[in-house]
Amino acid sequence: MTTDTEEQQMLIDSARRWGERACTPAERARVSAHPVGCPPERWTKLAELGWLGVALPEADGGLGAGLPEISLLAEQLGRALAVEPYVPSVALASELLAEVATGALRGDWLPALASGERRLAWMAWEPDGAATLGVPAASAQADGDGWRLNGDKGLMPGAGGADALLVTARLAGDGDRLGLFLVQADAAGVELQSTPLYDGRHAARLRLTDAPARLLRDGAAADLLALLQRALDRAVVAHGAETLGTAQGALDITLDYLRTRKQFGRVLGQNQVLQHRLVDLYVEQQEARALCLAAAADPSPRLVAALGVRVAEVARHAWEEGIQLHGAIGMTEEYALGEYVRRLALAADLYGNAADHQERLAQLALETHA
Amino acid sequence: MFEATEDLAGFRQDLRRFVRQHLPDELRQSVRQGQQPTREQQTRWHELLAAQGLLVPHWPAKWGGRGWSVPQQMIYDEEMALGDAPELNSVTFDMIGPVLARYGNPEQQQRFLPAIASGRQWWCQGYSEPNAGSDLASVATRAERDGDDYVINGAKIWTSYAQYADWIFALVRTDREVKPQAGISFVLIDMKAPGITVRPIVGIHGWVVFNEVFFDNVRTPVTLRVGEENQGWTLAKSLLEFERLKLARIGENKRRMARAREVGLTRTRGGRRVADLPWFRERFAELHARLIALEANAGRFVARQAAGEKLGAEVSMLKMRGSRLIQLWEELTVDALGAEAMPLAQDWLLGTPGAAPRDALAGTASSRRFLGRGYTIAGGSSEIQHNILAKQVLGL
Repeated sequence: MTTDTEEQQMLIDSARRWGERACTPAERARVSAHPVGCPPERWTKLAELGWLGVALPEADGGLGAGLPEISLLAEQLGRALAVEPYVPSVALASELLAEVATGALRGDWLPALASGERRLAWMAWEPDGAATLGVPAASAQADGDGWRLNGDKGLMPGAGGADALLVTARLAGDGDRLGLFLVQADAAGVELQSTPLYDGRHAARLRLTDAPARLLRDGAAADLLALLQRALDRAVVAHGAETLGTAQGALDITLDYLRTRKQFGRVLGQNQVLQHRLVDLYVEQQEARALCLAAAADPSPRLVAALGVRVAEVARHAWEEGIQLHGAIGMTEEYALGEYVRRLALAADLYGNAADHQERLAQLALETHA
Repeated sequence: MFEATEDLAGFRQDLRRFVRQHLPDELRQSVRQGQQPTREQQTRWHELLAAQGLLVPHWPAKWGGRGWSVPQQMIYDEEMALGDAPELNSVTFDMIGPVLARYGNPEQQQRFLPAIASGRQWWCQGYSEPNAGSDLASVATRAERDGDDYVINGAKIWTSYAQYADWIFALVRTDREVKPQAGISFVLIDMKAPGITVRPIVGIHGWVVFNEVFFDNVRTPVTLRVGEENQGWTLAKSLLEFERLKLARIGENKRRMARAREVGLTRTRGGRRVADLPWFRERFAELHARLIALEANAGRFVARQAAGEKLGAEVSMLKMRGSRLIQLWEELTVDALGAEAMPLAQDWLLGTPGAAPRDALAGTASSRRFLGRGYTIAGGSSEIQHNILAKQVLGL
C-alpha cells in the first residue's frame, strides 16, 4: 500500500512474521486452553515488540504512534487468528486510561501496561447483552477518600486475568452524575468470572459487591458518556481492522479451495456463478478496508458508524459464503476455515452490532442538519 | 475565468459558489424536477462553463484544458452533481475529446478539439449493435474503402443522445478475414452525412436517451480514421480508461442520497414522519454506509493514481459498486414516496409545452428509478465487471 509509511510497513511486516510463527494452529489451541486465553509469556512478547504501547505517549513508555498503527497491527493479528485480547486490552482499555489518567496514576500504570507487566480491561457493557454504551445500573457510594461500588457488568472479551478494571457507575445521591472508576481485580468484593467463547477466545463478566474503587473522572451523564463514546469509537476501528484481517484470511482459504477443488471434471473456480460471488466478497472487503484506513486517520462518528455497519456485513458475508462455497468440508472442526467462521460470526456483534451502528448513522444523517 | 486554488477544501467551496451563482435557475429547476435537458439547454450551460474554463478542465492545457489533478476532477464532478447542474455528456468530454488529444492526428485535433472545448459540438458513441452489446468484438457494421472514403453500412443501437449529436465515433469492421478483434477500425462520421437515419427509442423511464442509428452507404473520408486501420479495438478499450475513476459516481450518489433524505424528512406515513420509521432508517443507514465506504475506496484509488501508480483492472470495482448504489437510492426514494410516485409524468419529463409542473421529489421519482437501471448495463455491465475482476484480479 502506497499510503503506508516506512515505519508502518515495518510494523505490518513484523506482525505478519509473528503471526506466521507464533499463531500456528497448535499454538492457538494452547492459548485457547489457557484459563483466561492469555498466557503471560506471550503477552510479554507482544510488549517487547512494542505493540502493547504502540499508541501510548513516549513519556509513558509507549511508542507515541496512534490509531492507524494500532489498526494495522490488529489487522495482521486478525489475519493470523491471534487469540490474545489485543483490541479489548490495548485499543479499548489502555487507550481509555491514557486519556483520563493524571499525575502519579499515569506513572503507576501506563509504563506497566506498555511493558506487559499489567493488563487492563474496560467493562464497558451492561449485563443485558448489548454492546453499546448507556447509563450504568451500577452505583457508587463515597467511602472516606475512596468509593464503594455495587453492580454487574456484561461479558467483555479479554477481561479475565486483568489486573484492574475500568467501570462506570452512578454517583449515589448526585442526580445524573456518573463516575469512571478503577477497580483492582484482586480487591474484596470483585468477582470476575471468565468463560471461553465460541471462537476460542475468553471473556469475563463482573460482579461488584461493595468493591473499593478509585474515581478517575466524573461528570454529567451526557458528558462522561460522550468521552467514553470517543474512546469506544477508537476500539470499534481497531476491531474493524482485526475483523477485516480475519475476513481476508477466510476469503484467501476459500479462493485457494475453489482454485484447486475439482467437480464435474473442472476446478470449481471456473464456474461463473462462483466467480461472481467471490468477486463480491473481494470487492466489499477492499471497500471496507479503505473505509477502515480512513476511520483510523479520522475516527469521526460518521466514519466509525459506517465502518461498524460495513464490517458487520462483510464479516457475516465472508463466513456464510465461506461455508457455502466450500460445501460440507467448511462445516468441519478439522478444516482450517472453521476457526475463521467462528471468529467472524462473533465479531459482527462484539462492539455494537449492525443495527446499533445503523441507528447511529441514521441519527447522524437524519436528525442533524447537514 | 474561474481560479482554481491549491487548497482542495477552498477549491470545493469556490466551485459550490460558482454553480450556485452561474447555473441558470430555469436549468437548475429543470434538473431538480427530473426533466430531460434539451440540446439548447445543455449548450447554454456548456458555453457558460467554457467561458470560465470549466468545461474541459481535465484536458491538457494545449487544447483548452487546465490539466487538473484527479482529486480536483473528482471534486468538480461532485459539486456539479450536488448543485443540480445538468450532467455533462461524458461521450463528448471524457471519451472522444481525450482520445483525440492523445491518439488523433494534428488535423483531427485542430478540427475537433477547439469545437468540443467551445461547448457547441456534441458527439455520440457508435459501439453497440443489435447483435453486439457487451460483446463488442462481434461488431458487424462494415466500412469498405472506395478511393479516399470509407463506405459504411450497418446499424448501431443504444446510441445515447444520437438525436443531439453532430458527430459520431464508431467501431466498424474493416477486415472480415481476421479474428474478430483484429479487423475493427475507429472512424469519425458526420451525423449530417447522407445515408444516416436516427430512430429514437423511448425508454421505460419516459426519456429519449437511446437511439438506433442506421448507415446506408454513408461516406466518411479515410483521413477521419483515428489510429491505424484494424487497430480500433485497442483504441476502443483505451477510451474506457479515461473515465474509470469517475465511474464511482460519488457526486451522483450524494445527490440521490440528499433526495432520499429530503423525502424522509418531508413525507409522513400513517401520521409518522418517514424518517422516523424503522425500515426507512435502516435502509437509509445501510446505503449511507455503503456510500461512505465507496467514497473511501475511490479516494484510495485517486491517491494511488495521483502518486503516479498505474491502476490495474481492480478499478472496475468502483463502477460496479457506484452504479448499483444509485439504483438502491432510487428504490428507497420510490418506496418512501409510495403512491405519490406513481402518476405518469411523461409530458412534463420531455418538456412538452403546457405540461403541468410536477413536484421536484415525487413527480419524476418513478422515471429516475427506471433511468437508474442503465448504470449497471452501459459501459461494461456489472456482470462484465465481475468477469474482469474474477480473471484479472483473483486469477480465476
